[in-house]
Amino acid sequence: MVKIEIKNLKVWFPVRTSFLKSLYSKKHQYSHAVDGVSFKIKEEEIFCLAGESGCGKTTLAKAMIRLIKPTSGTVRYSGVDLLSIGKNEFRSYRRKLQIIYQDPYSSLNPKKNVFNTIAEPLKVHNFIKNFSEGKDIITQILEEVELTPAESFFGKYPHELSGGQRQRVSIASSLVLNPDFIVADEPVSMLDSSVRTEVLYMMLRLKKKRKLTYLFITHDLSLAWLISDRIAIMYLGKIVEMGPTDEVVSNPQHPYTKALISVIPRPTSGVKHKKIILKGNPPDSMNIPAGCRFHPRCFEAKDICKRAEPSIVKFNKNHYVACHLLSQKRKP
Amino acid sequence: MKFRIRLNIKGIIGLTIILVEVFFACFPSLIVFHNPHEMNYSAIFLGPSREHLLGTDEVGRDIFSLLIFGTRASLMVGFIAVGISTTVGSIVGLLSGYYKGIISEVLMRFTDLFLAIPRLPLMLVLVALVGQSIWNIIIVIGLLLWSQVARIVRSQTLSIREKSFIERGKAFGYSDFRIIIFHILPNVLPLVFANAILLMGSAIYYEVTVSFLGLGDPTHISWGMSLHYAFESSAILYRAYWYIIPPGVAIVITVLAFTLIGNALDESFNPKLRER
Repeated sequence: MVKIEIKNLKVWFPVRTSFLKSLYSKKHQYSHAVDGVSFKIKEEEIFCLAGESGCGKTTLAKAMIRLIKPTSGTVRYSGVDLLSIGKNEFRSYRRKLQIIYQDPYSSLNPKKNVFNTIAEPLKVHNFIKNFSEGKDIITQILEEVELTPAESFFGKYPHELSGGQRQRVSIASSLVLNPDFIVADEPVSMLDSSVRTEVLYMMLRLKKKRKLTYLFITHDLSLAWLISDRIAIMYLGKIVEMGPTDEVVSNPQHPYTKALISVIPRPTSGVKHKKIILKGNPPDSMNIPAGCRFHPRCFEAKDICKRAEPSIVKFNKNHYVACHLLSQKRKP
Repeated sequence: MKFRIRLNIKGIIGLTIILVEVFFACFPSLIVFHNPHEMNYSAIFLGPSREHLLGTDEVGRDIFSLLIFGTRASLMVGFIAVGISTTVGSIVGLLSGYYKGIISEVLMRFTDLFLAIPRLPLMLVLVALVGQSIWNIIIVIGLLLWSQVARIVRSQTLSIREKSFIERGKAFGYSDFRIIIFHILPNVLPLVFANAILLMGSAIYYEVTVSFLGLGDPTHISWGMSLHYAFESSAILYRAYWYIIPPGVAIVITVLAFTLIGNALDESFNPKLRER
């Protein structure tokens, strides 16, 4: 069953120009943060969105749960078109779609204690009538995120908690409304490495227990490799390669993916991996290069790459790649 | 909600002064023996004596009684006018900081207008228009000081609304009202509070100015009115220093006390200003 499906999703941000400039040029400039992305996430799947910073991963994920208004495209959640329904109607879907933020230091209101942080969404969605009623639910959810004894955390304020504990509170408050689709926006990247694995495994346990579907955003491919079922590699607002994680990692087709995978640290097995180091920085999302958007940095670029933009094609079962070289290799 | 207030020694001095004045304002008759309204034409411009601690004025009223009873008007102006301006300023600041676009622009240009107009002349014109009563003065002062609060609240709101716990609130489906009241306001409040105390000094100062220039409420005893009468009755010519100095000193001490508390609070909420 498909949990959530997006088709040709675009998020363009208008760029503010000076008043004088707007007088002589009528053309609006846009930053193409997400530039036509389509994929499906199956129920109870961990779908990983990977790419370097600034490539539009977070924007895409936020657009999927309507925290950012997409410019065009469709998002279907369990068959319902989320973008076409009204604001009030969408409110009932809010609790089903939740997000876990990267920074546990700014994702909790510093003036609210743990109990109120978790109780507030319950109250707003009429799960409980008043704050004292939520005690059992909150105790239970705090135990699920391994903050025990739960009662001792009720009155604590965010500044009294460690980074890992804050992230657990943050996860608890996201899960308390019983959502089934979670956007995890680099949930462990700001945590200390010892805490990181604990939180990660806790998230995996919670997924099994509560039958969650994760959209996991990360820039850490080894992490993606470890936990995800499928992976999509994003570059400058587009997906360049997508497929089952094991296959993409073991048999990458797009030069960008090859470069990313070549630099994953691995325990030495005697085999020397050749590291591919890309030159330069990703271009600005306002001036996307013509042709394949990766060609200025691509080490295998051909003439055609400068002229035409490759479309994403099936490489083999479930494995999709957007690269000209692939079709050229196949033709002969 | 918890406030962690740590006042330094200056703040404590300021607070003590204000508490003493609040006591004067609440129970003035415990301290003075003379009715401040009681006139005695046979005892005008008397110097300080045991009977009249600070002498008498041009109609024979006891100046010490006037001083103590005047505390009430000054503090009332301070608290109520600041209450009005802080409320109005916070609402304008929160709305214009939270909503981007047209609402924000309109509210901020309106605020700029109020910031740009010289306050004193406008205040005099308004008081002259609406009539010289203490309540009118309070309202006029309150409505003139809000623009400063609005600016501060707006800038703070702009920085808080970008934090992820605000966006998270939206992900939970909170209404804008809930986000503003329960998530942004508590984080802005300490700053507003510190600023309000600083504003009290200016509110009192404006009341004194308006009264001194002859637009005060003649039925109310206040320090500004005392100064006004002293000026009108040419107390300087009679060398009646006991008439001019006490209200002046009282005003300076009060404004200073509020400034001390305000700065101390500012330091306590703003760790960068704290001395180590």
